[in-house]
Amino acid sequence: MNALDRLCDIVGGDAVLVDDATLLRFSGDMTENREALPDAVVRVRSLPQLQSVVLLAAQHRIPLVPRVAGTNLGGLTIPTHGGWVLDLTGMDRIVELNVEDMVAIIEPGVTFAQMREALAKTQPRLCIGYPLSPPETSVAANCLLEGLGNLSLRHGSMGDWVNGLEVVRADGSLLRTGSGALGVPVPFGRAPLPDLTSLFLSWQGTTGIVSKLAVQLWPELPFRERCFVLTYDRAAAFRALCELPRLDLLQDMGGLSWPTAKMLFGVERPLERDPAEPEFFFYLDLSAATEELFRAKRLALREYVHRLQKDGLRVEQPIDVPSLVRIEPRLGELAEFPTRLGFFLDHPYGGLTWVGTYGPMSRFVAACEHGIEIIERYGFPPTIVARPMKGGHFAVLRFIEVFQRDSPEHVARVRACNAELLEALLGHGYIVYKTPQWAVEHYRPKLDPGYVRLLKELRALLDPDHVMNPGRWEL
Amino acid sequence: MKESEHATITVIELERMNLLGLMLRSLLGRRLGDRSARRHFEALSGPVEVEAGAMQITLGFERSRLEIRRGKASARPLARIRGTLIAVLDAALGRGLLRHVLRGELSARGGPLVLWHLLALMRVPQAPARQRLQ
Repeated sequence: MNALDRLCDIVGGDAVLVDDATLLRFSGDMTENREALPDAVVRVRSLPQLQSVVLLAAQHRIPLVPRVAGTNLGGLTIPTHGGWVLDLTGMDRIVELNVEDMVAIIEPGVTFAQMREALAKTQPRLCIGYPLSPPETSVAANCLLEGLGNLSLRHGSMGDWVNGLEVVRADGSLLRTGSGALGVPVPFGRAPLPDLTSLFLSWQGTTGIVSKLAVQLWPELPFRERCFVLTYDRAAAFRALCELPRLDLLQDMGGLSWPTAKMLFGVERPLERDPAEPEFFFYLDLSAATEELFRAKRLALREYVHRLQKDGLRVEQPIDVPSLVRIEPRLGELAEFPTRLGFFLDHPYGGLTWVGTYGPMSRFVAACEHGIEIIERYGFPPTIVARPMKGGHFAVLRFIEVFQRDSPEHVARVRACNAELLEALLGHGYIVYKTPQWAVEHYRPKLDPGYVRLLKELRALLDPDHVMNPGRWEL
Repeated sequence: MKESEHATITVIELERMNLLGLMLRSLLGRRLGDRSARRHFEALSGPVEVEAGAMQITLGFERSRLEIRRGKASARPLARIRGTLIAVLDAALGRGLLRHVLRGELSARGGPLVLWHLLALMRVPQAPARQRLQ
């Protein structure tokens, strides 16, 4: 009996897909990363199935690539070494929603849309941070890749929100991390045990496949508002980005540059910015437990903007989102999260990529200016997403390119642009998150030798047959 | 290009148009779905300058066609609407008009009939009463 036959025995013949259309669909994503066909797509629906499939793959040395939505912009679910793509969308149980301890235990296929629906029924209301990724994105995947959400201004990247994991190791055995390792009834955190959860964060599935994840939730405060603040120059935008987190007013803050606004208004190729129009706009989330506190925060925000104006910076007072949506309904895509940014995802060019980085606030302005110079030189509009993280301890700086995926010239240009962006941003202390392998190639000569040595040792220990998502973090 | 039964809207050099022009394209395009708004549209003939903050656009009305261009009109405009961005947005939302005018944040020059047609056209429709009460 060959491996595929045994696979069909484990998951059922209808869950092993080898038709050309399916293999093609799972061979790539929207990015410039080269496509590669898997040998099969395997729909896994349960933990026992997952364990058996992993064990089978190890026995036959077949690469495994875990995937849910595949919406990461790093080519991380492209099966570069062939093998089996594990479609985990069927493992979509919210196993437990613990309102009192504010933690949820979820399977990898649970999406942000599902979470939102489930959390809407909690009493008192709880929430989780939502990224700008589509609603069908996996919550666990975003946590494991240390992505961000709209609570990240306060609570950091989503990796920080993980209290513990259940992991299927390369030999099919199970491991629990965090407080769950001691079998306590509530996975309240990672401390105070030695932390093994980190062995599965940002490792991109190369050390094990997560079958359950315990993620922190937060109270959803009753008084909430999102508003936009438009700035006409970078000085105002950068100053607000650096100062506002320290005022402890905001639940969240996200900065978007002018091309994004134009794309929202239906301009597919925003070529030029009128010097008279806003250069950056921020969405700001205010929330409070009481109406009095909410009004005080609103007033404090207006006073802060007024101070910027008095200092000669060109910035508008906050505009509430419902009003803007009445003027332009497409702004509704930024009104509530999770959201689907159709102007990116459905762009006729078909290609979307980024260089998304985390780095120090103190170097943000220099990094941003340098990145703008590079991306414009390559002929792309400076489409930027920026936000402060964890109270201003670090920042996100992302340069996004929409490109013609079927044009070799566009692909070559975007690859060259991204390579130069990465090197430039690294020079300012900014590191790519959800790291694609092409970025790892750039990092290789710069990484601490001790770090590389231990990383390789751990990889060899946890994946001796090198079947766990090979082609990622290859050093 | 937005089309109703009778009217079309064209943005000249869309890829270089500013946010003011894009917002008005969207707003006026949606207004054209309303029969009474189309009557205001078809009653206008000639250029209208709109300035919000430092952003300038010209609305060129010609029977059932509208062209939106960046910058000032090349001919003498029928009307000029000028204001801060907030004031112009508020005018579109139908709020705070008098306050903005008294503070010098919004001005409109032109024939009264032209201004009447314009302001009616640029007004975002009210949400239905049931929604307003929520």
